[in-house]
Amino acid sequence: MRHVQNSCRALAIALGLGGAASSSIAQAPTDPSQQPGNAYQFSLQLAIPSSPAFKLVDVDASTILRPTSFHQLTTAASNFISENGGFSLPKELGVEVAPFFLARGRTLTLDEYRRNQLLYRFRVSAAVKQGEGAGAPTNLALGLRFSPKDATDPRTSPTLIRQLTDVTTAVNRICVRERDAVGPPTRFDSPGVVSCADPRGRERGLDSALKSIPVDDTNRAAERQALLTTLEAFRAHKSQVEREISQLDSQVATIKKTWETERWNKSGLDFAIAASGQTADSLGHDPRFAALAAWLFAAAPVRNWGQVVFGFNAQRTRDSVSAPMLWTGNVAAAFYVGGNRYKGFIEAQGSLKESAKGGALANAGAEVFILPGLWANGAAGWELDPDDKKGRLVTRFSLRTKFPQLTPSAPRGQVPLTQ
Amino acid sequence: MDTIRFDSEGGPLFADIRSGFANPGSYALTLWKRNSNSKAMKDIEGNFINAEDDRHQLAGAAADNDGRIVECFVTITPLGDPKQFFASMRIIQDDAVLGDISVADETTSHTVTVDLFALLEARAE
Repeated sequence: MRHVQNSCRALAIALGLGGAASSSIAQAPTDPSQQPGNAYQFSLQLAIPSSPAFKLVDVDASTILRPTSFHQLTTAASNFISENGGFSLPKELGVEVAPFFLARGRTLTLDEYRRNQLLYRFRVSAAVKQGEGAGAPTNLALGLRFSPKDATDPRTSPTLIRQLTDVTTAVNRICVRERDAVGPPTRFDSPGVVSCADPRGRERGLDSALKSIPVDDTNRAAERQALLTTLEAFRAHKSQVEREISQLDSQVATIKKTWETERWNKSGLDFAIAASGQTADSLGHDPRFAALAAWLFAAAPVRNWGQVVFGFNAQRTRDSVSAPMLWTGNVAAAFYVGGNRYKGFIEAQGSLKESAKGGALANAGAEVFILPGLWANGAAGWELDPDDKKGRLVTRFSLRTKFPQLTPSAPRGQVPLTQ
Repeated sequence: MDTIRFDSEGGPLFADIRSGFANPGSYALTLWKRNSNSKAMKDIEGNFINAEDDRHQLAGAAADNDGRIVECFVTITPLGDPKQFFASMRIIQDDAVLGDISVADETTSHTVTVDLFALLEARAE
């Protein structure tokens, strides 16, 4: 627990890495998704959900856990305002991972994924909330999330998979056609990623042969000229094939964009549990069990422009280190309006505490796509505190990121057998 | 080029094609004759919609494959973010994996094509 502050910093650095990767994209003069050749062009940019652990340490009064599309590894940060009202490093940080997908992903086939969707969409989250000032308590939480239904998951859509497969088949046929014009690989070739316009690297070979003949070698001038003519003809052919492939790539971009636009609000069901511990100070002294919570939330589409989210949350929490633990039940609903990348929402929530006190919350806000892999979520509203029965203004702002890189480049070629 | 050795007296050879990270895609399997530009069997096209039909027998008895090159173009559309991909061609004889030619990486493109190939060679007696 002494490492709470270090953990917090490590998470901040992790978030910073995501931001750094995204910042280079921000230099694009127009809509980044329209820039050719950028890394995010084919990544589906569906909203990043809040994690159960983050919800448990978050000061956010809303208990709504919106079911949204599964991601392998995400982070969240909130509470950027310091004691003196200035902007500061976030005091609440969370990470959510899909452990089985991360562990098995490399050799995971579509069939295996579809047969075990619950397992591969299962996510584990951790979050930390650092108290204000020296000696303030720190909260740590761990959460588990199950998504038995997720209609936004591209891997489980037969239509999408068929559309994409049709394009890859067309690309493959171009590759075979261009390869057949040359012949089999030689013993000097290695397996790897190829350009279908020149799968055997013929342009490079011709270029090398040309460069091996000195320009002033008059004895080989005819040979040089013949090579030059062949190279120019091949380059013209290659650029024609590249245009063919580029058109197919554009089809993939269109299929993906349509999927994003049409599927962002489709139905989903999430069940999650989380537990948190509280320490007496930021150094991790005197750790104690602080809260246990469970969520069951469902999402349903409203045509192609809206989504209704509704569900139930139960929590057993203590308000301070010395206070007894009490049950709280929350029933909540939210209505989202807009599109995948920009949407507004209203939320309403009713609460009942074990001490028979009732509370309520009404919220409105927006979820905004900032950059690929970076989303912002802000809300403001009114809360009726169940303890003092007084109304108060509540606000929330959080940033959520996907990790831009997960695996280092793997060696190409033959994988040694373990048997 | 990698060489995969097999038992010329054993059962027929199979090529098993896989795409990881639950990515969709297609492939084309080619078997080249020994020291030749001609093919030992008709190209086989397949995709990763179902994994059960991605194991293909190489033409002829095992011994016929000595000196042949087996090649597979695999084109993938990575679905995740980051856009990771993994393509593999395993050569199997009598249910034993003799070799696994694979490529794993991340891409910036909509589609990525990987060329997997190996020389098949009968084990010396």
